[in-house]
Amino acid sequence: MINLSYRFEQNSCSLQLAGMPDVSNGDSIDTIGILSSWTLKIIGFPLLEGEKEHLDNLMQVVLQYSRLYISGIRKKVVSSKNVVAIFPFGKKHKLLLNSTRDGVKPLEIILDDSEFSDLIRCFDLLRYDSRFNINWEKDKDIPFTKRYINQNSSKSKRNINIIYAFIVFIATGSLLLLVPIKNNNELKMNNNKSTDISEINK
Amino acid sequence: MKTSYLVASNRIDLDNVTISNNKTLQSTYVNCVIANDAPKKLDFLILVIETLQINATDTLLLKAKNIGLSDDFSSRVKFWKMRISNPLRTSYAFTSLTSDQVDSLVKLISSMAESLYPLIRQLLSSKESSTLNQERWFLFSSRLKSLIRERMNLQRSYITSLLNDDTNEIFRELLVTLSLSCGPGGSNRLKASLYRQS
Repeated sequence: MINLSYRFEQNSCSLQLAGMPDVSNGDSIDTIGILSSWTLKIIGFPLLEGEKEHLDNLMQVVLQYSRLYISGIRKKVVSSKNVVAIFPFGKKHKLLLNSTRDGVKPLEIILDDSEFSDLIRCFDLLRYDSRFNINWEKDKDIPFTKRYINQNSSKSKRNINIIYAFIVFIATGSLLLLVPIKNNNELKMNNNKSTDISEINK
Repeated sequence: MKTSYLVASNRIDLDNVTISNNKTLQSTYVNCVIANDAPKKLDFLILVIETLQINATDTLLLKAKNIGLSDDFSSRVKFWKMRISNPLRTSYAFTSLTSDQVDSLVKLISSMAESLYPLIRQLLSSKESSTLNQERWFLFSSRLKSLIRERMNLQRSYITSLLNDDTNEIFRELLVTLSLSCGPGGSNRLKASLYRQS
């Protein structure tokens, strides 16, 4: 049986996958159709490894987070069963990995922007690699709706200034309404003029 | 028998995959419209590329020719005409980009981001010495600000806030966007961020 192993490297990240062709599915000898193991090494952090499902969860969460980030949305993304989570952590990104084994504490990995980009590039290389015939449970890069962007965008919060400006405008306007206007003289003048015309008619 | 293959990071043998992905992507964008801020976003990303590389316009046009982009990239003027669809520019032309133009610009930006990735990464890294990092950021932000002063409408509040922002938060966001736009995956990601589902 042929065991294949492919490695994707990006500066601080190294993702290695091992598996074998799925002959029943018609895979060629250099295609991985059945994934047996994977390891992810991020410099300065413990080695991550697990089953296909774990890699799938990790990929799904990290890629979805990057998709949100590029659209200007800073939001926590959690995988199904809460195995993997990623969220903004100051200027960095915190990856939280819960072990499926009992008694193992969750692993926290804080990535800066460069490490985060490296990880994304590793996953991109993997998911677009034609030598893997694996159906990754990945979300497609689908555009969001305008409403979703407005609801979640951090920039939309800055638009509150417009609402404040409107409130200040209304408040100032209503205060100005209270200021008395001296228009009695003009009315008197008009009355005088009308009497003059009636006198002429007489 | 265990066979091991090492994959170089800059592999570009994905032609077959790209063709099949293009077909699925075309169906993905059927009910989508170009986002209002797409011209602004694209122009600013190109501005960041120009900051990172001197004489980037020539490189951009050459790259566009190499990757077989449309006639819009045949001269500097045609390229400039696309860029002035950014409403924050001094010479705003009140035009909008077509979906073909958006796709071409996305491909071009993605391709340029890939070649500039080491430089982008250096700026984004927090692991290097802080003095060196500060020096790099000073050079980057001052050059980008001078380009913004030169080309953008300084009476717009967004531009004023960009020029007065000492934290460089928006510049950092632009750099991260550029780093996430590298390669075929990044290109699709960037494209998806420029459209809205209708």
